[in-house]
Amino acid sequence: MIMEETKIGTVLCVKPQGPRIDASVASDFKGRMVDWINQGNQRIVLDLAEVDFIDSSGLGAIVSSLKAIGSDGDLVICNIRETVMSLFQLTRMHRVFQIFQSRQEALKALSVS
Amino acid sequence: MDSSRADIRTIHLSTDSRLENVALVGLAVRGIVSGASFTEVEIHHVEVSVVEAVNNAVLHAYRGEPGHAVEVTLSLHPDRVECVISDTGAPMKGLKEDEPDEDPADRRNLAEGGRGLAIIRAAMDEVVYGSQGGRNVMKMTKYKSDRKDRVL
Repeated sequence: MIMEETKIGTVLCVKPQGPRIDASVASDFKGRMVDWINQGNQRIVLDLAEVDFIDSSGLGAIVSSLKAIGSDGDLVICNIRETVMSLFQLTRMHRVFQIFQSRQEALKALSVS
Repeated sequence: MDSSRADIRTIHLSTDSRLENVALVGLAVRGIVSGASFTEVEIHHVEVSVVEAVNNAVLHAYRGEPGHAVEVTLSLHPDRVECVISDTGAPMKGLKEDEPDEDPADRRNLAEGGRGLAIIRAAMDEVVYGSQGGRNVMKMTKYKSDRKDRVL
């Protein structure tokens, strides 16, 4: 899947072009995220503005990415749609990830952490 | 029991057991349910539940092997949608699944998978699964939030 990456200071912004992060692309998504993390990117903003659907495989890939970062950094989410947010709420993942309304807020939070 | 069969509209879909086809099923479900006065979130719950059920059929019933049929039937009732997903692969042991008991602060032990059935059970109002004569059938129902006689 196409994923737009932008580095702002020490923070990597990743924006999947979507619109779906599902079982057919989850492995590819996870692989790309792990590659970026292994390259030293420990602060990542996942911008979901172009994503209108995530299934359990996609969610699992995002969780895997968070685990790959470990305790030295963070992966936060921004621009999540109401429908996608409902999946995070159904699975209680909204308690695991910091979720911000905008990329600007997410960058600000990661820049001071 | 519905008194008027004319109020029920039904469509049958069939797809080959390939993950790349599942999005087509999801989009079809989204489109069909969108025309039935559910809320955006309710539509999404139906779509994700059907997708999860079809994924299960592809990955587990058919063990990821293409060339097998996964059947999806949607029935639109005045107050609900009923979705039936069936396959002729290996049956599941049931709907019971240990939901990960996760501490949000404990990243290392977060589950990376296995949430599919939990999503279906949380998103849909009724879920039933059974196997007979070599066919596995999962039936799930979502009621409209404005259903007046809904028991809360």
